[in-house]
Amino acid sequence: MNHSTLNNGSILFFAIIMVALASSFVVSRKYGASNRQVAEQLQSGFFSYEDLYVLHASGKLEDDYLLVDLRSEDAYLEGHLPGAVNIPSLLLAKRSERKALRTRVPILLYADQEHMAVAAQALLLGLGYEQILVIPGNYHTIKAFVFDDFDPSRAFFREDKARWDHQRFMPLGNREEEGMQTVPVLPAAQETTTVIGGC
Amino acid sequence: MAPLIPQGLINPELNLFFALLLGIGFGYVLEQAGFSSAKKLAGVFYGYDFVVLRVFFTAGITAMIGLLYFNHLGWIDMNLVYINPTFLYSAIAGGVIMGFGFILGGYCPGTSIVAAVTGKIDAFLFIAGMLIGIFVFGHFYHRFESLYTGHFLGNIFVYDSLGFSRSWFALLLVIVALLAFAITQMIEDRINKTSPEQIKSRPSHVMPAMLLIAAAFIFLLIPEERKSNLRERSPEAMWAEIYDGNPFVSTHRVIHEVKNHRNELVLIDTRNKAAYDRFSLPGSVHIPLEEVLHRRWRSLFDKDPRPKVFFGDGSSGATMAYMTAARAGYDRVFILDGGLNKLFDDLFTETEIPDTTAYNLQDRSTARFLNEARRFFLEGGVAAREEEERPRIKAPEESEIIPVIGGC
Repeated sequence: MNHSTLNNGSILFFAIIMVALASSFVVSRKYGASNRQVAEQLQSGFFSYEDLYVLHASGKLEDDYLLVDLRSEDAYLEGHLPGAVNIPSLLLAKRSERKALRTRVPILLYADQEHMAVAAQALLLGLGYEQILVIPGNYHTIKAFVFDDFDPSRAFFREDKARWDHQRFMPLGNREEEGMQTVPVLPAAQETTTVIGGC
Repeated sequence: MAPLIPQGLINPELNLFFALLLGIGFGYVLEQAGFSSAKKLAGVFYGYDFVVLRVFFTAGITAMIGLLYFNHLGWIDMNLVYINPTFLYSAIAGGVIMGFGFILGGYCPGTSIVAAVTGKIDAFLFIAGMLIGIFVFGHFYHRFESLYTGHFLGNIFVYDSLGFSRSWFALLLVIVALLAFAITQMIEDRINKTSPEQIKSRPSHVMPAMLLIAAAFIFLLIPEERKSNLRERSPEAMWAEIYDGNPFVSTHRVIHEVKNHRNELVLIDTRNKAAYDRFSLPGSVHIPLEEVLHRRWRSLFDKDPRPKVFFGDGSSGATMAYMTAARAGYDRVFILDGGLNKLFDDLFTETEIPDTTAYNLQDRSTARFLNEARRFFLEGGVAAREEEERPRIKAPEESEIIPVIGGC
């Protein structure tokens, strides 16, 4: 290979990589945090009623936290948690509607249903917002159990908690004994006996 | 995108056809580098010609930089690329035998074929020796087995063993390679007694060297994990879906599925392991949130044509799993609306069958369906059907990934 082909080849190689890298920065800026990071943050994304009550009672809630009401505007006008900002979930995907989120962190979300707040949390974390937490339950449970009449036994309320003793109501034979067989088997470490060539 | 064969973009049966094409290309490059000459190859041992080192090291670092970037850009999935596992003893023994054979015969296996093609008689003898060696190894394999599989270290990486990050190691390797080129050039010049004029008239390689260092250096500056990749669904589209309620599957559909022993949905339990072991819907598979993105489940999400329904006790855990899976670009993922709590509410709270009027036929049939289902489950309907238990989805074995095997 003569001199100029080597130079040209290396310039071409470098240019392809750099153009691809640059275009990847320009084209796919859909998200501000990777999917894996979001999934990790979602695992510990709930705020407890107890903490909320303590903050409310000490009057720090409105200074330190930004409460976001994801319900519709009508529902918000009928009643909302003290100091909450309204961003209807219909408009959450619009950048211009999310201006309020930039004012304060941490952000506490609540909605009509807990899973809508969770979905909004996943969306916002993915878009690169930080410290987004969800208040479990819906507007009515939060209002009833925290603001109107605080009940410590409700401190760990979650809509996602089991309310039924499932096994009692849907017996599945003697799973206790043969249960182990039906659990999916995780793959064992790969054992290889392939003979591979090298030079 | 790549590797093409394990991703199913190229039919695996064409494997050998592409191997032929690549082999021809590889042979051509070796011949062009002058590797059909034993004199040139053995030069690396005597110090008069280091072209072997230069060619293979250049190929190595170029491929390394390319793979780093392609992986980063999402063009190649390094998870699917076969990594040669390390068996320490056989690696040492093989290295010694190979080096000995190399200096004795003047070829390495790949180059001996190239040389034989160009008609060198010593290369034919070399190949004959190689075949005898293969035969002996194969015939007495049981004797060598403990050595061959001795001290298995798995798929280890040099940078992990040294405690570096991958990008620092890449930069270091590029610098080491370039230093090696410079030093071996000096040794070569001294042994060949090259005149200073000749050295001066030699073209400069500063530009390619600088570009390689620059490419490795830039890789250091960009973040390890990309924030978004091309396959992911856009946040606006995902939000529209969930706002419209499209990803929700009703509890009635799942009750119908379980009661009538259908196999039309993939039920995915997102609760914790203890809850799953105690009770789960028949035939469900356990994929908690932290496992959704694991590559083990990719074939289930990508290849299984049935709708995948996440469920938890309520909807929240399933929604987390849904948001993760939907963003990752998995199609036809759903959430069980209300989760197991609502499913049991629907099943086990008494429903009155409304009177027949012209307007409530739907309610009537729903109530009848639920009453029938309640009776079925309270009488242990699922347990009674034990022998024809719904087939369970198992986590695919790792070996189902077709490895890409390399070597020269």
